[in-house]
Amino acid sequence: MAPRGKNQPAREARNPLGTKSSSRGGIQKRRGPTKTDNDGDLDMDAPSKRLNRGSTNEPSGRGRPSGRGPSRGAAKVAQIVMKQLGSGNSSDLSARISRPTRSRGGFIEGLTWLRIHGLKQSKAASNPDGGLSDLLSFMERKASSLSTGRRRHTIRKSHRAGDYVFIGANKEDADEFLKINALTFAGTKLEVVESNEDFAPPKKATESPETAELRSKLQAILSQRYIGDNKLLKLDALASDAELVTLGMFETRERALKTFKGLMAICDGLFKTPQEKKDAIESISLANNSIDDVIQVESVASSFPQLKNLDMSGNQISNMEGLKRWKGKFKELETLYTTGNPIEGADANFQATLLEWFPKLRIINGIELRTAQQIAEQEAARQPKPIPQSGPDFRDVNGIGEQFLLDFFAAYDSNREALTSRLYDAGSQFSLAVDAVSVRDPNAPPPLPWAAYIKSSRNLQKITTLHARSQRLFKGANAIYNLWRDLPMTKHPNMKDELSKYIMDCHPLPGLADPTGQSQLGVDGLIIAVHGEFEEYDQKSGLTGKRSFSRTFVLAPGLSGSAQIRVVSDMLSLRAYSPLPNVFVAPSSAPADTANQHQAMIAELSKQTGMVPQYSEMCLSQVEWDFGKALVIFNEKKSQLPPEAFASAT
Amino acid sequence: MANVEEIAKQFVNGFFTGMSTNIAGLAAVYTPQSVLTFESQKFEGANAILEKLTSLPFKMSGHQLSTLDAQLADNDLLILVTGKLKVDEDENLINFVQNFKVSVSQGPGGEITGFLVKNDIFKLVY
Repeated sequence: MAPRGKNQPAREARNPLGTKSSSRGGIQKRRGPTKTDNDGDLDMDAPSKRLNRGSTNEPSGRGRPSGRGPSRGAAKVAQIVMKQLGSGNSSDLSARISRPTRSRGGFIEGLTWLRIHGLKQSKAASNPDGGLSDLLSFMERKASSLSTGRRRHTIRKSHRAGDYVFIGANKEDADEFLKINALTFAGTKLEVVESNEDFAPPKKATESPETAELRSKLQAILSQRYIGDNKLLKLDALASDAELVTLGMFETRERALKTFKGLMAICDGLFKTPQEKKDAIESISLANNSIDDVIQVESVASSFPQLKNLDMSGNQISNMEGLKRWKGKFKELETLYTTGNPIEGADANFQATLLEWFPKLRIINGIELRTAQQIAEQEAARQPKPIPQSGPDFRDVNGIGEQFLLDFFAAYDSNREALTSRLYDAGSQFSLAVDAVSVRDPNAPPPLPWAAYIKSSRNLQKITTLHARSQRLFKGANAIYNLWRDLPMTKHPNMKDELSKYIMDCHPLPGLADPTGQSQLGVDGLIIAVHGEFEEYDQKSGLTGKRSFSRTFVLAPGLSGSAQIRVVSDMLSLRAYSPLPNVFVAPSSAPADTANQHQAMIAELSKQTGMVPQYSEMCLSQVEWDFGKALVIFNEKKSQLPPEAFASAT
Repeated sequence: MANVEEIAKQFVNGFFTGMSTNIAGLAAVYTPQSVLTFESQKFEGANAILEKLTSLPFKMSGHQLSTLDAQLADNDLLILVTGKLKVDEDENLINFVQNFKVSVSQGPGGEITGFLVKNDIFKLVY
């Protein structure tokens, strides 16, 4: 069903939301000659599934994806939507979906419907699908064996409604199925009668019949408005949709709002995962809906947070206030159409504001205002990197620090007991602190719970009593091992292979007290600060994930001949995972060279607008070097600019 | 040293107050032997360190301390601080981690008479 907005043809012509505009809105897979299955349903996939109909557990009669064919992607998406839309208990819906084909292609003779009672009382009712597929195959089998001819008798369609199962078959088959009446199926006598209710609506479904019917009607309308090839959901000109009007869905403003919410709720219910939804629907048109405040269609943002293209043209938005409820939503939105809204004449800055509100927005009304690259640069500029991270300050002594680190994390991961007995002694100290409020990537998954560490966390800001503080300071190899034994298992990246996941600094410590008292001047030690990450497996919670850490060691020469060094102090700080900057690659653009960046922007703006560099610079500096805004301003003021603003054509 | 933890806290509070209000005033806690690693750059001696800290091309303000831990190592305070840092007027806070090894001088009655920073390792961990 094609949307029926008055200005639809024009809109189709420059439909932003998909290049190929399918001739009709119905869910329909592209294929050569239009094919329908026997009863007129759209056949989503060509291969004849009817051949194995007898054993099918797909009673509703729709095909499965074949997994082959050139337009698999779109077909798959259409398939999902189709399947979902049809998953209600209503053949009514199937009929609706199939109607366009029927009315267009050859009319396929209607089915004879039979009503069957007894499934719910049978033993098969406890089977996974409530015994429906068993019942259907029983009936097909039975009918074939009862009939005189050798023909198979086939159930074309079926659905369950309350205590009844309705089946549709052609007249000849239906007559055979009627003979099953009063036969026993799974311990229950079946009642099979002809149903004179065309596509009998559910009688005792959990929803009220009215709700169910409305839902299925809305589903059908949605399905007609989905263009799988373009991943486009056309919700434009809803108020002039004949079917919605017939249903009275837009009689009052209140009703219209409710209708829209209902449509979105149905959309939400169609997809198992957000990813599925994202894959199926990239574009939505809300054009020509008389929307003056997006509060009326706010749920689009919550239902489709990852929408890429949105058509709002032909509505009644007159100021940014009318769009405010979407501010900060649609983080992936790239294209927006606003033509035909009063705001176009009312707010000269609205495009610039839109670019601010939607971080990925590039194209407004078909004009590219910024490139993806510019967006990436702007995002990069927002990253706080005022101090270049240019590598470690690792002042080792005889490679001791390096050797220690290479050894330490591998040993901590694999054998903590051996590690403590080797490098820690009675004077060693260990403590850890949990930093639960560190800055982290807001898009990253939530941090792992801190439960395994929090009771040993010695954050002196929070742990204030002497007793609690001393309890959380672990002295001596044994006490340290006893704690480590109960901490989650870890896997630190191999320092040799993945050096970039660490940053470490090392200072020599001259004159560290010599515990043997042999050296009056003390001995030389090291202080090492390491930052990095590890993977964790918490035996108790079963959770795995990454954390970031910082760890400080004070090392001193070993006391006995066997160990070269010992750990005097070991302080661990844990925080939510947030990858370190890779300090081992040459800093490419950092530190940001503002002057160069400005020059590049001037050159680019001149190139795109034809303005001379001075004017480009003026324009850019006016908008604080926001390229997108500069373009907007240029487009607005273009006509007022003096001729000298433009480079003379040579 | 009695109550290492409180002494560490006292030092840290004083240090970060100094960082945001009067960096030059921190000259008193560095000695000619002090070593600072600021990010990856190394500075030795109070003069070099102060020159670095007072000539930063940005203003570090509003250190928000998240964790503070301290141990007594070799009769010095070993301090590990993590927190968030506001740079200039940027609203994006940055994680930082700072290590100190601080020697504490005490008067005859055990009262704290001064802190001397031996090692100071400052690192941003975005």
